[in-house]
Amino acid sequence: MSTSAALPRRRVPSLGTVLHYWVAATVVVGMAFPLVWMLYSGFKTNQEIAAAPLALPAVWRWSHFAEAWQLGNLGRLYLNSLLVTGVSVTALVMIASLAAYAFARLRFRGRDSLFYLLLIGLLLPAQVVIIPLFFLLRDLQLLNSYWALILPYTSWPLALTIYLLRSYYLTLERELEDAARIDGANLFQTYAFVMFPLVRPALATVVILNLVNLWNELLFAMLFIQSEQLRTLPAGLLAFSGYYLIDYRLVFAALSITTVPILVVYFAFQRHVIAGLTTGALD
Amino acid sequence: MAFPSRARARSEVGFGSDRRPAGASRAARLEDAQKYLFVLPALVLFATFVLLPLASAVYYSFTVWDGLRTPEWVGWWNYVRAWNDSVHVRSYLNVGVYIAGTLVVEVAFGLLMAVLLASNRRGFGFMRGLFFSPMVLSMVAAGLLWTYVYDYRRGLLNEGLRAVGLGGWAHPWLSDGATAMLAVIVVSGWKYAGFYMIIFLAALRRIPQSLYEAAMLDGATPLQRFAHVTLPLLRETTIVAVLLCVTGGFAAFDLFFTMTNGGPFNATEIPTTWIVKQAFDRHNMGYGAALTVVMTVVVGVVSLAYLLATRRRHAVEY
Amino acid sequence: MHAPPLRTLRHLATALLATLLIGAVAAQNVVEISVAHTMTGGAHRDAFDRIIEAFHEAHPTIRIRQIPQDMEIYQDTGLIAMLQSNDPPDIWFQWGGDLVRRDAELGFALDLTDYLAQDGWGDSFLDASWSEGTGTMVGDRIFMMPYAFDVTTVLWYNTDIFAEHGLSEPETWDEFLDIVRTLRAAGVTPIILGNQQFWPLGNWAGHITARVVGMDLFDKALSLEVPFNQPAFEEAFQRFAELAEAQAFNRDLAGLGASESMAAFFQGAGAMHPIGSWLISNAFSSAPDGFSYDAFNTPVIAGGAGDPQSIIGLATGFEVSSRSAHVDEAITFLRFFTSFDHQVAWAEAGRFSPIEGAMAAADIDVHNKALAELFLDANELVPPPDTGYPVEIADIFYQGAALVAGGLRSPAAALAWIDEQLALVR
Repeated sequence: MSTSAALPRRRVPSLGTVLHYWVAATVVVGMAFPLVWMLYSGFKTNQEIAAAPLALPAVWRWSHFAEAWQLGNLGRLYLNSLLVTGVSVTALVMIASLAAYAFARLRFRGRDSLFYLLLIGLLLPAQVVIIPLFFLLRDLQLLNSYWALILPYTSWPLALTIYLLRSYYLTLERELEDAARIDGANLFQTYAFVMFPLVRPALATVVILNLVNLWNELLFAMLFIQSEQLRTLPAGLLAFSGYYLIDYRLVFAALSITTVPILVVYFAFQRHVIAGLTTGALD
Repeated sequence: MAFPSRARARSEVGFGSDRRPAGASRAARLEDAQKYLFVLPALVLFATFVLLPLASAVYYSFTVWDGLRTPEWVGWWNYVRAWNDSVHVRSYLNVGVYIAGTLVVEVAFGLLMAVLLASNRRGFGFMRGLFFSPMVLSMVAAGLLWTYVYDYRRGLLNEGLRAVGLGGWAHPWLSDGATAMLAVIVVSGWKYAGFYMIIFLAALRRIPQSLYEAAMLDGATPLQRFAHVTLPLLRETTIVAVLLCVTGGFAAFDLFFTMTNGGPFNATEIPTTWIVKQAFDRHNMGYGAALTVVMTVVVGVVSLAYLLATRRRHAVEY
Repeated sequence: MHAPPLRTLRHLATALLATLLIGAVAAQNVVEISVAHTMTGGAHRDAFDRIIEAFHEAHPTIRIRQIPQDMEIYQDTGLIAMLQSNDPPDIWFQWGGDLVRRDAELGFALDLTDYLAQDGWGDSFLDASWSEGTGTMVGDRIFMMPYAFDVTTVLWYNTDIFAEHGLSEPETWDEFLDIVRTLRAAGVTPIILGNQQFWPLGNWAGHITARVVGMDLFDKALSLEVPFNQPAFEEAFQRFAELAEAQAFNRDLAGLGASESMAAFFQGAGAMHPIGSWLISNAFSSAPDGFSYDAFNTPVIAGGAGDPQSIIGLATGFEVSSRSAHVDEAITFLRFFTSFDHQVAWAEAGRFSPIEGAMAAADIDVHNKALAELFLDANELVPPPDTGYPVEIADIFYQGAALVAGGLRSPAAALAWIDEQLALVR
């Protein structure tokens, strides 16, 4: 924690401080280096990568990136991921918020039992249902379509999302709802116009959490979608690397293309991301 | 993440029906019905895509089925097979090692970095951001990148060792059963330590500075301050972090699939990779389903046991 | 000019209506058939696309819709999902052998015997096409039309490295071991291979095993009729132990991927690389200029019960859906595809065409020619375990072989392990 403003600023940092910086910086640079290596390796030819893996490229070949984009149909992958993730997260958060409010604030028969039922989902890894889910989607004729991912993506994170939102709803003051009721608002209006806007901090958390998890989800994406045209990024990247594995420069380029934009977005919103995750909704 | 206590649930003053007198009006009954509408979408989705498949998995676990022919009922045969399947048993040991390893490289390391980077000195915000950044990558990207990092002939790690004269230490990390799991654990730590750093950071920020000052006045060293002030007050957070790490460990798949696919020779085989292999490579749907049921039970038991063990009367508020 | 009389108008309207109706009927006569396969790119995909274009010109009432999928996805979930959907593909790609048997048994695949008997269509194929060994037939009925033969494992070698050390193609296994030892002593990795998925070494192991124990015993063991743990197999697995002892392989054999090892071979990381005929097209696109290579079949193993010059390989091709509403159109397409001129183009794109005379007429790479000759001269064709037999059984066999080649278990221990694992399989 920062020292109070009353203490005088020292001119020369103490040994402890210097050490502190050094250790921290070393660790952080070590963490970042593999990403940096990935980035500049995409500019090299395969021969260069084989001959001197650590060296910086002699010539910065931007064409590799265009090639990877085109060959890997990366634009299509981005679009599919955006669509699937966007729809899933939006639906998920809306549905979860409705339910979370009800579990937190409304009284109805079976409320607690239903909530505990939902909590089962908290502990289960999604892998346990890949087999029956595959055949369920097949029976619904939804395999190899966006729905094959959107529906599971909206359903599985419900438990955690409802749990987090409910915790937050529980901390809100009761008076607001009573006031709204007195003003004549019905149940849904009270929820939509009074309570829902108040959970914004927790919403940020659940949106970010689910966004990152679903954007990067691999297992369902790999199993439930077979067509090249509908694949999402993780599955597409895996397939691309499997096909072009010998063409290292292309794989590095593709890796960079699929990770750099997300990193840029992350750094742009970094403060909000970290703030969102530390609002205490996790305790 | 303790379960909501029963006392708290009961003490909640309800909104609506329990304040109304007996003989509620028709409008009130309508409103009661509306309450179910709030939870209906969630429950329908949950029932269809979580509970129903779970139940189906149980059904399929009693059959032998290749996904094409009709399932053949075999009773407990798959479970007997699971018991005798040395790879299956070993996969739980492997995932246990993985979880233990990630508790160190993710949770403990994350805590360490949270403490290290907690202050607002210049550049620390940026460093925190950088430390967290691998989190946004997909496991596929991380796995592919690190497969190249670990490459025997041309990888970053071995080349780095050769460059500083430690060429003798160059090793086929992912091909040796002894080092493969460690290699995967390192990647996991690289990716997830930032997440735990954030969690602990939030908790650290809520510890009042006055407690540290009091300890300093008492002559406590930084290490003592950490052990006697910081750690105890992080108890709740640590419990949550450990639970997330454990359940996350069981759910690990992407990294293992991308880097080793359970190899070499099942040295990094975890329950999920073995299940996917059985079900989708070998088309043993029934056996795969039985394995998933076993995993569900194991995860459930472990998590519940953990929660019961760490549950106690609510922590001291400060 | 004054308005046309009512009668003329009526004639015009009738003519218009008739034209529209005929047009509609004609449009409905365009039939679409779907073809699922794993050619996601490469020269053979381009050739296939061109053949389809030519087909569209020649048959305007039939349209072909391709469904390409990555091979791994196709194998794991793709095909079984498609076969069980409401709209299965009319034609799909399959590996000859066990899978063809399954498709026939379950009624998914159409019996093609009678179609092939018409107009000598079946006769235009090489004789080798029609056997249970090649994988196209179940009993005496044909269920798969082959479109390519693959040689599954030969020993590709870097001719420069061989020349540098004064080595030449070995005739016998002992000569082969000598080469391995010479290379290792000179600091060169004798065999570079990536066995993370077990099939690269496994296929070769299958070939060696069949050579030593003979096809009959090989087939019986993989069909779970006899155990693996017996002297004949021990003798076969001893060959892998010899390789392990001579340090024949790269250190990262167990964790390296198949494609990466091929790339490493092109980069000169090892002298030999036991893999299949697809190395040739990969060499075109990925090997550095001046990379010179050749191949020899697995050398003769003295005392083996199998044909000492046998080759390991299989046929891959197309099956037709028994549920297809457009069988005739599908057959029309397949006949077009397997006509001589198109098969020459197919061969020139790097595939081993099963049509008589196509390989000879085509202008193909010297390596492809050599492999084709090897395939046709062979008297015995060993089916790769993972296509000739259920994948699970093959996988266990592959792992057992890998244990020995990796120096982790003795032949007897590995064979015992195989039997133990197979006991769990139903």
